[in-house]
Amino acid sequence: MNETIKADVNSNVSLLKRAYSREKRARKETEEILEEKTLELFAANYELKAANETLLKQQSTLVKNEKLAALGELSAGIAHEINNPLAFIISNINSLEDYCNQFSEITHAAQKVSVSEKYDNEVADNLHKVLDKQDLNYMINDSKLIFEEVKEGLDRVKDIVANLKSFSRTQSSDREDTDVKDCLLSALKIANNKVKYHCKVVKDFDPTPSIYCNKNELTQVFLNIIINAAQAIPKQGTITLTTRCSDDYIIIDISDTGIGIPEEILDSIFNPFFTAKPLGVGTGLGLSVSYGIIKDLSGTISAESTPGAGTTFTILIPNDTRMDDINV
Amino acid sequence: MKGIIFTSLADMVEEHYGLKSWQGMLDACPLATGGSYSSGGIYPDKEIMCLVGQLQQRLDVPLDILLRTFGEYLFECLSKMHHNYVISKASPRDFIMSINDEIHRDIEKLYPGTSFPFLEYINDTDNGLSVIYKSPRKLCFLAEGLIQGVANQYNTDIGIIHSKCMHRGDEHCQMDLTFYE
Ligand code: HEM
Ligand SMILES: Nc1ncnc2c1ncn2[C@@H]1O[C@H](COP(=O)(O)OP(=O)(O)OP(=O)(O)O)[C@@H](O)[C@H]1O
Ligand SMILES: [Mg+2]
Repeated sequence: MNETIKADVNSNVSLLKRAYSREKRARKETEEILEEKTLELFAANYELKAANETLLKQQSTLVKNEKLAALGELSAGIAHEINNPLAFIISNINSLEDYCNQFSEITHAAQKVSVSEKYDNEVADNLHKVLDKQDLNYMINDSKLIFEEVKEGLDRVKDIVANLKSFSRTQSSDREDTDVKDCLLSALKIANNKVKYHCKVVKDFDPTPSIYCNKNELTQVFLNIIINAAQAIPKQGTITLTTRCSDDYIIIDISDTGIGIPEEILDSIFNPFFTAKPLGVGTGLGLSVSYGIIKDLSGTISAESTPGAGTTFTILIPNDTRMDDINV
Repeated sequence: MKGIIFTSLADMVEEHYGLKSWQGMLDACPLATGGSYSSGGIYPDKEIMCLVGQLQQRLDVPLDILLRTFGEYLFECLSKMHHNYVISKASPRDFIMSINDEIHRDIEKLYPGTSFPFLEYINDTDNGLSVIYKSPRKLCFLAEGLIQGVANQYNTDIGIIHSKCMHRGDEHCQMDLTFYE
């Protein structure tokens, strides 16, 4: 009897032992699976987060590009609308100036008559009185100034309209094989007066393959950026120009040790008419025009800045600009 | 402290000293969890400290020897759970040098609430390497055992000289390793 109970208990204990070790193995397996899956989830989540971040970035560039494209269309429209009246205003002003010159010649002749003794005294007297009363000499001189100012103003309007047009890139352009370095150097030459007194210029040019583009336009881009850089340097500073090459891009960096660009306006600097400069100093077209030109080359232009320390503009132009031409 | 440290201790005690010892240790410590641990959970440090203290009393061995033994056992469990790390490293040296910046860092990200020692690697020579150990837990003997575990894993010998030790008043611990082929 006792023996059977003992045997029974023993067999139960051994059953429990086997069950326990089975359960333990199962639990180990579960924990291993759990750990592995947790890791996988973690990695997947990490990737998702990174992908999401890239998407958000791309989206914001997309929005920005769309905005600039819309602005381009708008400016092209405005430029066109202004161009026509501007053309006849300029031509009419020129005619008007010619007429005025002739009037003033006639007036001079009349003045001579009014003081000449050769003529009938009463007629000459009347003429003299009229001429005197109107202060014709003053009017003639002032007209000259007025014409000068009007023409200067019209020239500025013409420039702005031309810039607007080039921002919207509606004209075709003459392309040729162009060395980036040449354009940088000629931009420096043109900007010399605005740079040489207070800026040290550092040049660090790696050789780059030539770009198939419009030389003048590319020079214009560099000129705009270099002038901005010089204007951003209040006392003494350095402007650094570098060219480099990656597998796919020619990379041009233009940096300055100037005042920098506050973060809250960094997103707007490529917009047409955006300027932080006082009235009359900037029209806010330099960078928007540059943006248009670089975009035409399928390139990108971007700015990084630390307020108080300086700004770097980076331009990427695909190595083979001819390819797009063929595609088009 | 992550649960796998607890489950590994339980396994070691059960395997070598029997279920009764483990139950006795559990009964002797005030445990918020009642002593049921799972490898993915995070549990209070003081519970593992109490359990290790109990085991030391029962076995009547010095703490450093116990921790070394446990470290060796623990490494087997850790490397089984995370075998990817072992597979991806060609040598024990590569493996050891990846603990701080790769293995521990990964797990830290994955399990908030864990905390890891600061390991630094100096004197990296042909067959030598020194590991600096800093941690408020002062578990440098466990580290020694874990390094012995690495040697076992790669079927080699690693000489370990514990040249500086926080338990001897040094600011941090230093283990000078020699790798034998
Ligand atoms: C696959 C290999 C390894 C894994 C997965 C691993 C993982 C872990 C985990 C999960 C903890 C617990 C941390 C907590 O819960 O707060 C820990 C602690 C620790 N690990 Fe590792 N470890 C590995 C290898 C090593 C090696 C080879 C060493 C040798 C130096 C080491 C040194 C330590 C030490 C000393 C601690 C105790 C905590 C402290 O000192 O503050 N580990 N490890
Ligand atoms: N290098 C720079 N450092 C600091 N601010 C800059 C720099 N370049 C551009 N900016 C900022 O971006 C604005 C827009 O520049 P953009 O060249 O388009 O216009 P502008 O220089 O103001 O006028 P414009 O070029 O038409 O004479 C500037 O007003 C200035 O605030
Ligand atoms: Mg400008």
